[in-house]
Amino acid sequence: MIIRQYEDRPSTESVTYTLSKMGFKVFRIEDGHDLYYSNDARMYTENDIRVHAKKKFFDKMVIELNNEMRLIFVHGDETEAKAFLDNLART
Amino acid sequence: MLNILVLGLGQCGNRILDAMNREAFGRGGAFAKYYTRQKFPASVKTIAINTAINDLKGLVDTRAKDRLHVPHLHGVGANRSIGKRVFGENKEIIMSEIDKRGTFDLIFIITSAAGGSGSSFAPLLVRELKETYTNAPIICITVLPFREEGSIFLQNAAFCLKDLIDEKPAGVLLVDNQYLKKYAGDIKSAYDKINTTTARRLLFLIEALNSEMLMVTDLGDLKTVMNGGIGIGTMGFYEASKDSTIKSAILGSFKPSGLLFPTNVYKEGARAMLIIKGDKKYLDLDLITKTIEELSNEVGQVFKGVLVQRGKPRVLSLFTLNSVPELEKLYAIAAEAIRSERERQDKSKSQLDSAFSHIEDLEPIY
Ligand SMILES: Nc1nc2c(ncn2[C@@H]2O[C@H](COP(=O)(O)OP(=O)(O)OP(=O)(O)O)[C@@H](O)[C@H]2O)c(=O)[nH]1
Ligand SMILES: [Mg+2]
Repeated sequence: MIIRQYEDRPSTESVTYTLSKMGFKVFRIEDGHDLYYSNDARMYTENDIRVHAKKKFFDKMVIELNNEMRLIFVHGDETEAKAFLDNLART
Repeated sequence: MLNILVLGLGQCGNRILDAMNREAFGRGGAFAKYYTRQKFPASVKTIAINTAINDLKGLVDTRAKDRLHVPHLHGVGANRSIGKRVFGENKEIIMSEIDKRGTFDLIFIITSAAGGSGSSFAPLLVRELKETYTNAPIICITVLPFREEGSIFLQNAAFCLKDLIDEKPAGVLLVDNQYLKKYAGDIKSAYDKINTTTARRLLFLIEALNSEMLMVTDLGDLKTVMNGGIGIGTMGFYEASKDSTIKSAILGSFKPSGLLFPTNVYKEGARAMLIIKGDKKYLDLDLITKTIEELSNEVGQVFKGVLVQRGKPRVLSLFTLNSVPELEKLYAIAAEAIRSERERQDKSKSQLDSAFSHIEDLEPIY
């Protein structure tokens, strides 16, 4: 999992588009989360959007955007998570 | 999926195209899926166009229906003026043959700049294609002659390149026979090697643009790269050995030994694109990003595409240049060749005139 702080909030479209360019299919988008405790961030936080995607059964990637903290969480294989953030910066 | 058109013009263009088809069909490997002979949807269409039917007959891996003969005896004999006329007369046939193959996102035109047919068709084709396929960037793969091939080939190359640039294709990528003759002793095997190398690199690029990537680059980036500098560039390649780092593989793709045209990328480079393929275990993304940032300081903007694929890292570099000293040299030689050719002609003519002057005012007596 990788966390990055962002300046400009990436749109859901650019997240989905970037994932598709990398061969991931988005199969679920959740938004409007309640407050929850994030193990990764070690705090209560409110992620306002969560995008689930997968490639070939086992390769999974989950992207969470946290408006309040201006954070993006990328869950998945570390190399792919890094590449995702690099690719997202292009859009 | 991208729709790509590849046109090979004249003998040289035909043969490089044939090499692409060989790579695609022959080994049934990674590229086979782009071709209609396989069951997969086709996305690469190829047509070999020539005025010489014998050249077309000599092709091995290009399907018969992808060979278009534009009738004019046995070629146009390296005469670009005739070539232009022949193109004009056959424009409709050529364009309708292309039209049958659908629409395209990207077009490659492969030709020698030095012959007659390919070098005169190419600029005119760019003009026609730009009108019909307004959104598809056209990239011209242009082969330069051996410098000792004589003044006609040299002047053709000089004028062909100028005509090409005037038509403003998306870009021109140079392949220099002279520079690459180091590949082999005799001409025939040098041609084969140059053709296969060029074909593989084009397919390497096409495959990448058509794939999902780990780090993404795309057609838009390619356009931006080709738009850089003076719109002329070339390609490099490097295959890493066992223990080299991804950094040395990237830098390797800029080395003179892997380029298709002699240039100092660090000095002349305007923009570049790097396509990296290899096993995930070699793909240290932090190192890749860092290396490319360093390169950007020297070469201008550098785009990167990374693909996970079995095997050691392979890197293709493609770039445009701000200045091309080697081309200036070629134009100087061409101009010199044209001048001395004219002098020679004038001299022969005046010799002939003075010979004729002996019989001035005389009539034959029988
Ligand atoms: N790399 C490479 N260069 C070639 C090959 N065949 C010819 N050339 C070069 O191409 C130039 C001549 O152009 P061609 O392609 O033969 O000419 P053409 O377009 O068929 O034109 P005409 O024969 O004059 O009608 C020379 O500089 C040759 O060295 C080839 O198979 N590979
Ligand atoms: Mg010919």
